[in-house]
Amino acid sequence: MFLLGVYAMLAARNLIRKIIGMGIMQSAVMLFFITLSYKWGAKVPIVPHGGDHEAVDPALYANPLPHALMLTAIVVGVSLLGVALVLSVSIYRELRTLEEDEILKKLEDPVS
Amino acid sequence: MNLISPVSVFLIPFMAALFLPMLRLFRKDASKLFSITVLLAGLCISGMLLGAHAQGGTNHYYFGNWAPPAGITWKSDALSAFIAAIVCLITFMGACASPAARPGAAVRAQVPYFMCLLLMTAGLIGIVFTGDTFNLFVFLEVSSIALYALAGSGRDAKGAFAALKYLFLGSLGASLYLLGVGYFYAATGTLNMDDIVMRLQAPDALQSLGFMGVLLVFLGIAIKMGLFPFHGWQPDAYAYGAGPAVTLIAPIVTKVAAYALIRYLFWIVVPAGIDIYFLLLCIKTMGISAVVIGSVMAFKQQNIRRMLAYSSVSHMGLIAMGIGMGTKTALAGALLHMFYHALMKFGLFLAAVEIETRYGIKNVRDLSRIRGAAPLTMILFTVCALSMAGVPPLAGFFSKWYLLYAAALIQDYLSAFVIAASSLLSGLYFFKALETGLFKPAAEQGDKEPLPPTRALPFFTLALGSAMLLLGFWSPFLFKWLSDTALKEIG
Repeated sequence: MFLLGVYAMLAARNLIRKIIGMGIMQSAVMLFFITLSYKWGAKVPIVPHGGDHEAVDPALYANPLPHALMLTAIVVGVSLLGVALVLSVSIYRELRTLEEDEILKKLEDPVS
Repeated sequence: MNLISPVSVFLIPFMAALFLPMLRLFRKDASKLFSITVLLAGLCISGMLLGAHAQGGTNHYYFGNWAPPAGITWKSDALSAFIAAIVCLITFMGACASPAARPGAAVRAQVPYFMCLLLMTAGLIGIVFTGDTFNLFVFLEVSSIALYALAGSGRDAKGAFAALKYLFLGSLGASLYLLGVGYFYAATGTLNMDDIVMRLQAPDALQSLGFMGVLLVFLGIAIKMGLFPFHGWQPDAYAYGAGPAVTLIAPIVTKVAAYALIRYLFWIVVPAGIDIYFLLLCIKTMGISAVVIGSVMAFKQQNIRRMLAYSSVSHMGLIAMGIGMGTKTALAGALLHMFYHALMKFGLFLAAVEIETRYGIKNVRDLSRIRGAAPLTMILFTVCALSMAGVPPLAGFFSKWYLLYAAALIQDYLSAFVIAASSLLSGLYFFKALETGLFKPAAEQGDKEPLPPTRALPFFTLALGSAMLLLGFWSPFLFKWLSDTALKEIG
């Protein structure tokens, strides 16, 4: 799934598709982390409120740490998405296109 | 809370970034002054932190008073204090050089620009001081996002496209890094760097997972570092990104990524007993190719900033060679080169951006137009260029010398040859620029009226020029300090 996202980033002509590819790639990493936290027949890692306050056996619950980490990673991904879209808007405003080959052609014309 | 701690160096720019928009209520154009003050404060504290670590020793800060390995730890030792001081210095100088004081600059755009600058600084400090692998990812992304915004802050689409390319490749690098952290977590069950070492040292540790983790972490950091062949974003981002932003970004970001690599390889992986000889060999080979190919490409460039970008690629290759050689001497040489190259690149980009904004000159061959017209800028450019080429007694000579020395110590004659050749190669493209700028007869003048120079430019010329000379003389002591104190724990 990761490589699928990377391929999309590289091969897609439209900028928005590249951004989607980036999102796929990040989701792949998040899924990887979450699968790390699963155990056979694990329970959801929430202790029932006001219930019996006896000690819980951590081995029975799915590991919640990767979930928390991935929440952070999701937030990071969202900000990246925001910045990427702003940059795309900036490009579109001047060049009126979001296709990569047209952008390259338009940028080449005034040779720096 | 003790003021001289790694957290304060982080908190000052971070909090400042959050309060910056409120300043606009009081004074419309206070952003630049505020940022400079804040960064100066950060610089002073990081300097004091460096002084506190002059004899080595570590300083820990446990977030929320959660003891490790449950909580996030930040530790500062001589090495991280050194890198943090470099970061603070360069960002402070970069903030001074930002165009807020230029006549006609839009005041409204200042606030986001300086916010991103402060956030980037805070993120980089976070990377330097953290002792937790996931925390490093978070700050890597914080600083990177601020970076992409800064680089794309110019008015033109070319800069925006270059920043977008940087964004794609940078997020690929960060995702690879995160995957690597995942493998380390799968192998050890912890995110704390010291704890990872301990758990991997246990006899039943899953070292193969650790090795996979190292590989992914290395790939991710290599992209962020601009190591050949992962440097694809660098030429465009440095050439077309917003000028003052690039002056700020180019010197430090790749160095901090290289520091993260050093931290991983030599503080986590090697003590854990994972065999990375082959990886170090690959790093060294990539470094060698970076030096050669980067220099060749730099020579072919017409655009000044693009030439400087490829020059960064080749010098990053030198640093990578130091990392790849793996000995204490080589690492000290690499760290020294990180410091000097940061200063030199800053000066070079400052001069190049100055020439570009004042005269609109972007190409090397047009440099002859300003012959005699901008003496201070050209002095800055010349001194930094000579230092990059490794002319003694300027600073650049000494960092290359120590790398050469390290290569000779382990009898790696190919690396030694390449390091020596890199001076020659750097000289090639810099002398081409210098010859055009200083000696060619002035061509016809453009009809654009040149803008007045940045107010702070004479100060920078003086400061960086004398720094090059003084650092040159101070190098042996700095090198000894680095190899003895900062790298004490490495065999």
